[in-house]
Amino acid sequence: MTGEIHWFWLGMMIAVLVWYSTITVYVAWRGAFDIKQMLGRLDQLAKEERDSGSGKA
Amino acid sequence: MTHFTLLDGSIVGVYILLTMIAGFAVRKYVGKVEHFLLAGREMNIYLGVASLAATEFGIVTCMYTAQQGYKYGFSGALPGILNAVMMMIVGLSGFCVRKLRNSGVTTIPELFEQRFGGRIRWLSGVVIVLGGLLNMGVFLKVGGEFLVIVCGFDPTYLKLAMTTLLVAVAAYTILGGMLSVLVTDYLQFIVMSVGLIAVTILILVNVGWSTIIGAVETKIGPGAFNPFVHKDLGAPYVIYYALHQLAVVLTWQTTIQRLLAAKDTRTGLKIYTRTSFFFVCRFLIPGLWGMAALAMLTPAVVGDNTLHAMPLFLASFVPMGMMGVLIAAMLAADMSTDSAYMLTWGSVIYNDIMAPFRKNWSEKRGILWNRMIIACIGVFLLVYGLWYPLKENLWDYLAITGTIYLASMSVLLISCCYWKRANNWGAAGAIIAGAAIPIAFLVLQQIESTSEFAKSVGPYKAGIATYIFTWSAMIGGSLLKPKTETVLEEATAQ
Repeated sequence: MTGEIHWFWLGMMIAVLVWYSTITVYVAWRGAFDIKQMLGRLDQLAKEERDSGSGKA
Repeated sequence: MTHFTLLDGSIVGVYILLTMIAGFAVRKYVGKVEHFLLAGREMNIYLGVASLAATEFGIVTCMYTAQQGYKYGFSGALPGILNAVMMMIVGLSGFCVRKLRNSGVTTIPELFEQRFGGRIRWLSGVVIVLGGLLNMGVFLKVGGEFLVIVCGFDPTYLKLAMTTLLVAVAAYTILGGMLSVLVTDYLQFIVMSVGLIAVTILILVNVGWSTIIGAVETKIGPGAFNPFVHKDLGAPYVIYYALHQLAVVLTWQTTIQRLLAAKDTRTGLKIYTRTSFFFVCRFLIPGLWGMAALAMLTPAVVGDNTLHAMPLFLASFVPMGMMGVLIAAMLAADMSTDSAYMLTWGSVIYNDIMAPFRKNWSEKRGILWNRMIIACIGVFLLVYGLWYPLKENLWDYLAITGTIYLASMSVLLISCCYWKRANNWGAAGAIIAGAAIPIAFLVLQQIESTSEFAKSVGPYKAGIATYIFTWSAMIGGSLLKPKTETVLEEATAQ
């Protein structure tokens, strides 16, 4: 039982390092596109807003 | 002896400069209150993952999860595993959060108003802000302790350094709101992750897995690997953290703010599922650092304060050059947490506590007020967290301030979404019960004649009791209110 629990935590530690390394690279790549897309959309909405006037909070 | 040198200082300096430039650059996109608080609800999945992960990992997180590892071994990482499981379940099922996101509200109390009325919205806002700000009040102080130990700073200059850092974070948060928070969170996530992974690999290579396992087994025993057999933990620890982490996933304001800032409900749920495993990393990585400290340091070096074990170990273990990466990572973690937390509690103050006082305000006036609120929160943090000496035990303090808010808000949210009979009587009872029991436990701990009783009950059983009493108050209060009165109120509201 003790050996199995040690293997469980070793497996968990390896999973953490593999998952975290992978997600860091992937999020760094895809997140940059998300920022570009978000700012582009806000810019577009601001232009549309300027054409049609502003609202209330 | 610390290894922090000029090279490390330069790495930290470049990181801070890049963050500030990014934070200030996006301020021009803030045209409305919704842009300021929720980035115009235009956030996509991967930016959401980066932001949620960066927000929920600060120096304070690293310190107490490492302390968990030092004291309880791998069993100390169980709250992280439970958090990940709860987040995955909620993300896949959409339990509560789907209805919350679909409702189009800005904060949770705003949803409560639709069901329980304006007074419950206001009261919920007060409880959330009170619990949240008191919780956050110690972040700066604990972060400062870490930097003093790891870098070997003179404590006199530390106050000045932390004040300057807080002013810098507040400046870009005030100007750009959620947009600045998201963009800087993205950079901070990368820097933080690189540092966390690099230091963990360094520990595994130089200290070794078998050395850590051996030390943990010898010094803590079998309870280090299985919380059910640990004498201080056991079933109450597991049950309490299962309830606690479900409440965190459903109602912790910084997490919810990212769900509500997502561009649609589906994106919000995907952010939940794809970030879930990060919460295992959040506990296991610093937990391993704490266990490495247990293996490498003698009890005489650590002293009575086990919170300082991990930074004491890193100060002597991390080499020059890598020390800069570690400090940049920790500052990134702290800055992203501080900015997101200032914005999130500010959003509840503006949206819910000030709701009765703002009628037909322009967008410009709304943004100005949000900025002033964040500035006030910054001043509060500075006075309360850094300059005011904290007298209570950090663990008790964080647990109590968190439970005051989490127990009642999670019960209100679940009832609001799924129980038709739930009403304002039950909601008010749940808020009072959720706050009263943790505070009563703290008082019992402090009074000499009752401290032994409080110790025999323990924080986990007290926490479980809080959830039971909060649910009882919600059910009892709701059933006590005559049905005719509820129907009349609903008709008036419509």
